[in-house]
Amino acid sequence: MKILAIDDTKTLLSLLSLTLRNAGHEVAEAENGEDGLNKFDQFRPDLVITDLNMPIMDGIEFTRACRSRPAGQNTPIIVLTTENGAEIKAEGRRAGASAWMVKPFEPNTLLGLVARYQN
Amino acid sequence: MDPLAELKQTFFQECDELLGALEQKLQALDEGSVDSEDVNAAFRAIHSIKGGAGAFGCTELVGFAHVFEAALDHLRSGRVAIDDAPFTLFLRCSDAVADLVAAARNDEPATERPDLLAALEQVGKAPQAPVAAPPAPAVPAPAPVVPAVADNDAPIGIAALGNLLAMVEAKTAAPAAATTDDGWDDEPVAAPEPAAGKPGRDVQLRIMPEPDLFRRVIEPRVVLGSLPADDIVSICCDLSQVPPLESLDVSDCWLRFDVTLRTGLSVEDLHGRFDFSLANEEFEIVFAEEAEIEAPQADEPMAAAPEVSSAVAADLSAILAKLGPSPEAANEPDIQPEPAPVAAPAPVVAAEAPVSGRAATRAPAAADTSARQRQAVSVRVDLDRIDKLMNLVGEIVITQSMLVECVRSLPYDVHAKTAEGMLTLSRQTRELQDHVMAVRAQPVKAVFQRMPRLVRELAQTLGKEVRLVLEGENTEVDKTIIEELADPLTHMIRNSMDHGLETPDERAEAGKPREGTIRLIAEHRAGRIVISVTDDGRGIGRERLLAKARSRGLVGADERLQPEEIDQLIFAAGLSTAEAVSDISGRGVGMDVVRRNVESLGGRISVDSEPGRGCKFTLALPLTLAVLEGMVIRCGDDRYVIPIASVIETQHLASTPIERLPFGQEVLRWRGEVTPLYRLGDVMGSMGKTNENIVIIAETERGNNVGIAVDEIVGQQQVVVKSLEANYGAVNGASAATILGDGLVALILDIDSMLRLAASGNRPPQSDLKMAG
Repeated sequence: MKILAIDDTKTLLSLLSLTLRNAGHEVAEAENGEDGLNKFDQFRPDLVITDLNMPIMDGIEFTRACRSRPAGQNTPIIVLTTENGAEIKAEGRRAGASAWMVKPFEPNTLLGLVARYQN
Repeated sequence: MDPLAELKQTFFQECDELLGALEQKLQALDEGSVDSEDVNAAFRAIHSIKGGAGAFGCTELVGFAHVFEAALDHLRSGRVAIDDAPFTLFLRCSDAVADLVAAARNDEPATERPDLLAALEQVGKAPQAPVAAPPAPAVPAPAPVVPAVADNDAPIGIAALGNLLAMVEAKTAAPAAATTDDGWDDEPVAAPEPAAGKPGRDVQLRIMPEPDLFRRVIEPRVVLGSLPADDIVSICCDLSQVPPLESLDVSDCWLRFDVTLRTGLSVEDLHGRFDFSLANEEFEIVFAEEAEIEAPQADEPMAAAPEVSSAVAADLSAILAKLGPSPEAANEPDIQPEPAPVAAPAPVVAAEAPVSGRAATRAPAAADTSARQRQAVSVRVDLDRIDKLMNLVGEIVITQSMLVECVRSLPYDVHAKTAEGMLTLSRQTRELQDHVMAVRAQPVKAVFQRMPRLVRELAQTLGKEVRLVLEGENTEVDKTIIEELADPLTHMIRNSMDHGLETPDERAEAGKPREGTIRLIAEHRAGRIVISVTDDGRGIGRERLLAKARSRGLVGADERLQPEEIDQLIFAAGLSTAEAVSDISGRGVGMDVVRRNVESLGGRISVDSEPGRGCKFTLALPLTLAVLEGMVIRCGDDRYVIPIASVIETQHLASTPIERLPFGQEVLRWRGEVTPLYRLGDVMGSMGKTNENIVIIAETERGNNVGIAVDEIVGQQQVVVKSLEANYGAVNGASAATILGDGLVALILDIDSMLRLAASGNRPPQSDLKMAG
């Protein structure tokens, strides 16, 4: 599966990529929402995993922007964040996030979630 | 190195940067900034550290960072006004995080800071706020280590990396922890599955998604797929809500699902499987009357079940609160106090950014932004590689200057094109060299950032109030110099804090603000980096310093010194005027050591003091240690390079009267001072016949002048420094070597080492040769 991973913490981003690549996925990396949108257009991922708190463009804004473009309307977006409050999650859902995972992530749980989106 | 260890390494490097940013932002806020972007940036920094630490299993760090983050979040959300925030506490916490990072990096046990944690927990607890909701757990449960695969003998089997390990090994090595292949029943091995024979209880699930489910790109199959397939007794799709076809928007979801399960999964576990995707209102978990009593003994939640047999999702929080922390604490949204809505990223309003405290800081908001963008496209490169590159560029410079000399000897009209090409090559080589140097260059920020902590800690120890102002943090200098800067700067700041600044009471008496100011400023000047430490303290106590110097015999009893000369005594060995020798800087080894270190790097240090007004130390260093501006001289058949920084003056020997002291030492009179004269050919043992007729007046590290007689001054040029120790062996009198344009090696003279060499010959010791004015 082609997965776009977005996180402003480079280590976590690398870790995420490593986890996904080891599971056989093709991964593109982006460092913030804006970067993510550009990569989204180029890479056309089957799934997006994004962090929430990022400079320039945060995960919610990214999700909203992604949902507002034709190509982004059918792509599952998983929010991977340390935020875990009802309100922020509701905001995420309103923006169009498909799933919410709380960091630090358990690789198997994440891959399980990803696998569920796989045809 | 395996990729994990490498990643961990990167993480720690990143931590350093993040800690720097955190401290800088907190400092700005402490000094009166009310910029919400500063708060956000500080929050993001600690947030990132926590995230990374969690991934690498640094539990102590995660625990502390979590509480710290929660406290900062109160600021971000506006529950605590920036003005009221305890930034001193935050700064101490940022120090504590730095300690935890250091401990994690060195695999040392971390020091616990219950005091700080307790203080942090108080942040945002307004007196009237009822503390009904249980506070966020101080230490979120770490991701469980998966023992099945975290074998200590495994190649990367560090238990701390457990969860990560589980992943990588499961995928690369054995399918021990692997999941079933259908990709549905994919929960981690830690999930307690019911034993064979399906004991457990009947659970009714009702899933009532919002109409926007499809727009969130959630398929019912994905939601239902999160349940263990074996546990599902039945799934019914309820179509009763679907509107008539003519008014149906196909992108709305009106489906409802009723699921019957027989499962051993706990309430929270079930909850955790849905709250990935669904809001709490979108699903209901209803326990049927207990069907079987053989609940697995390890399944704690069952114990609480009788009371909650018909609990609905809305009541889960109460149940979960009773159950206490669980291994999946991270997935329990409901027991946490209401979190803050995400603060909209406030645009940086330039007009708001500078506040009195920071007015002196040169970096405006725009610079911050550009720094951030620059960081976004940066690449980490091993210093080793850059060194190799630099070496190669050095070789090219040598080859190029060799070629230039070859071409110069050819008739121009014949080889005009070649000459032109050589000119271009010269320019390009020079540019290449500059660019490689620029790659090695780093902002002094890396060192400056350590200073606020030093000042804070010292201020506390000394009972002084001090404000540290940093300027020119983005001034760039070669990496090797950066590494050497930390010690001198630390000494200089210690000295200013301990000896320079008065206590708040003394300052008040002298009519100064109680808070002292230390300015740390970096700038480029004349191809060098100049760093100054200025304090507004009492200045150097000249009488005490002079008295001490006299008592130590460093200054003659009837010798009269200018005030400036007295100030320079601060660099003399073994002088400390602090009344009480303290841990901080009273050992009397401070400033003379600083001076020696700085001079060994080809730098200079000086001091200006104004009694009662303060004191300024200025440190000037070359921008790099890899190339050096040198004067090329000839003596006999050999050529040498003298660092231009050491050269004061050159003159004809014939015009200078030379005298010979009784023990054979030659001296010359230069500007009214008796200056020892050394003939380079004699000292270094030059080959060929020498005919010294030029004298170079050079300065030693101790500030004395010497005359060095040479045959000829060949020119002045940048030379590439080649280590002698690495390529050949140490040579007395020379610090290094270089290769000149014609491919021959020339020694780079080290004046002090040369003098020692001269003294160690069959000449009498020179130490009693005093330079009296």
